[in-house]
Amino acid sequence: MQRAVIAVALGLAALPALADDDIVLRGMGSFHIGGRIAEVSGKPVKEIQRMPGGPMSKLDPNGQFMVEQMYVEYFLPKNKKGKYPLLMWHGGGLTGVTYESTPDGREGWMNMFIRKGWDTYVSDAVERGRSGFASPDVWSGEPIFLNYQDPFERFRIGAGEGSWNADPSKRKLLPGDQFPFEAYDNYMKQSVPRWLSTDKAIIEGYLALVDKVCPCVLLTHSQGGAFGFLVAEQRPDKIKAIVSIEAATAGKVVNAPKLKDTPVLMIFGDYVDEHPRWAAYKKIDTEYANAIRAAGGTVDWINLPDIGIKGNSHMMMQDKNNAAIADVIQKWLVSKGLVE
Amino acid sequence: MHRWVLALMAGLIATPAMAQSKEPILLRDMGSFHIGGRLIEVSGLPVKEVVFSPGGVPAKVDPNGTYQVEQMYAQYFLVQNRKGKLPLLLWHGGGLTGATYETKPDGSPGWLNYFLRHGWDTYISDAMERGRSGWTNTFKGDPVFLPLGDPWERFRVGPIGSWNEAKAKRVTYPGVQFPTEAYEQFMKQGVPRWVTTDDAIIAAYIELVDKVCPCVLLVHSQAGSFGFKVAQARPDKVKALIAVEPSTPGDKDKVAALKMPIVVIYGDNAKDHPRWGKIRQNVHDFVGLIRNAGGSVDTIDLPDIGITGNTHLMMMDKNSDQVADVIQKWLAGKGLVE
Repeated sequence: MQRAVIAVALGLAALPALADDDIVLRGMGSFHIGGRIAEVSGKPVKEIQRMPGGPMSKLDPNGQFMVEQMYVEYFLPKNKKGKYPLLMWHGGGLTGVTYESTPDGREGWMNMFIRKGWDTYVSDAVERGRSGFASPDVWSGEPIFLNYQDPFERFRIGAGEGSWNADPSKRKLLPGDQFPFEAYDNYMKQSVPRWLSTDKAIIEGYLALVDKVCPCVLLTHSQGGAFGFLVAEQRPDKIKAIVSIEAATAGKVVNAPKLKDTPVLMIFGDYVDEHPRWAAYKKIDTEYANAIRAAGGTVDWINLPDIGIKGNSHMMMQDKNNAAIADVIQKWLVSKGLVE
Repeated sequence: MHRWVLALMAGLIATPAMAQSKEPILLRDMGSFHIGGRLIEVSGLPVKEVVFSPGGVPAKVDPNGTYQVEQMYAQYFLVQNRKGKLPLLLWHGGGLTGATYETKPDGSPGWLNYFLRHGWDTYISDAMERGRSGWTNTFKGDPVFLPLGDPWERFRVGPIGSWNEAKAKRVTYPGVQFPTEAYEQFMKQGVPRWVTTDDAIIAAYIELVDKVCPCVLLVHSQAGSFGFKVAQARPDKVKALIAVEPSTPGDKDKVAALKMPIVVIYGDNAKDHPRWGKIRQNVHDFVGLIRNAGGSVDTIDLPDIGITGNTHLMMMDKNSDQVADVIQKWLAGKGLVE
């Protein structure tokens, strides 16, 4: 608004007035961080066809390769209110897209927190998305690919195993589920393959990011929850708070005391206790939270139904009421003195 | 000489590179989506039990069933003070992602920010199979991983034989504009690439065009052929095509469809390069066919307009803003800027 007034005062009629919902950035950009140069040797030279109908050409898989780097995109609002950068880490089999527009085309948490005045960094974990992945000559193990129904049953969109049906009208939703199930197809387009053998490289990538842009606040989801706690244990001075959304496994209980000066908020959605798998994760997170508390730290725990927010799936940042949950998180960040 | 005069007439004479403004970027919206793709059926494979996170709860993963494959990711930024008459779509080259157009390897702003600051609604996509588009093990063949030194010579940072693992021993072309100190940083942008997937890549680009166009396409390298072919498939929707060092042309039998204004740009050391000389000639032969069919194509070799030292990665070169100025002026010359 201020800029618009100045523009009018200067007679710059060509510059339209700012709308209330415009996003005004003092900067935006991206970078890759971390990674290492791997040497591959002793592999046979292959013959490949690079273009359809083109000639065969030699491909030597040996040599030096850049591997295990991580991609990060950032947006810096002009009207900064968050005292530290906010880093958003996604869950398994996904990328930073988790926090962008929702599958049904609404605004996601990335835009919401930029609008709330947070310098926001969204990354793709090593091996996923724009971070790229290494060849089988460098990484042992094979990636796994999620079939179309798996997250429907596993992420508490449908009512557990057997709730999926190829016919959308026959899918059994959890009552009042907030996931935009009509856009489930778009959600599944966000999936990327995932290795089970790369945690160490993923954590190295996150550590490199923290060393570059922190002190900061972490907002983590699912598999990213474990990474967030494990990284915070190694950089407790740099992580000023952690918002953990349905962490699928926590940090190491023995290291939990390192988080005694880092306020933590753990959030779980609806139907968690009824789902054997999520009840088990909740128990793991509870033990970790208790270990932090026992060391004198602060863990606030919100089961969303307890505060009247019902029907949330594991993908609550994409659920229809995602703005209400963002407000819960923002309120907690304010209460911890992290907002100007 | 002919091209030089053409460049003069179009007002494309090199101007000194200006640093991008420090003023805020004003957006009326930003977001992303996935588009295209299809469902496939896999059957007859055994069920696996998988522990997703160490110490986690085992889950059954049945590899059989329905899979979503071949979709494409696109991210968009809609500027508050719009001056480009149509959306601008930036398509990257082989083994890369949309990160091509974001912050440059040396940390300074790239073409995405440049075109936003010049008032273009801008869409950046990751080609099907790359980056945030995801990939599937049902593609034919294995992906190709580029060795660290490969682009140094192939993208004309230095001449053939100039790469060395020891940084001090690497040779560049004289006056090269690529930020050589950030070469390793550039290589972090690399992603694996299949060589069997062109049809699916093009199908997804066509879906994008059907969703957000009429538009202007700006394509690089491998996407040169994707840009020409998609323009041939949707000639009414692609209102202009900027081909930056296209590595292959479009379909020679469908040149009559290419009636939209087109500009083909190559950097320095391309014309006489053993590989790029052939690639450039191949594309210029295609340009000749378009012209014979009544189309309008401008060709610019940057050294001819006084811009020297540019590599294949001119959007990451130190003078990337200067090259973008050439494109912006061309777009203005075609009446595509308010």
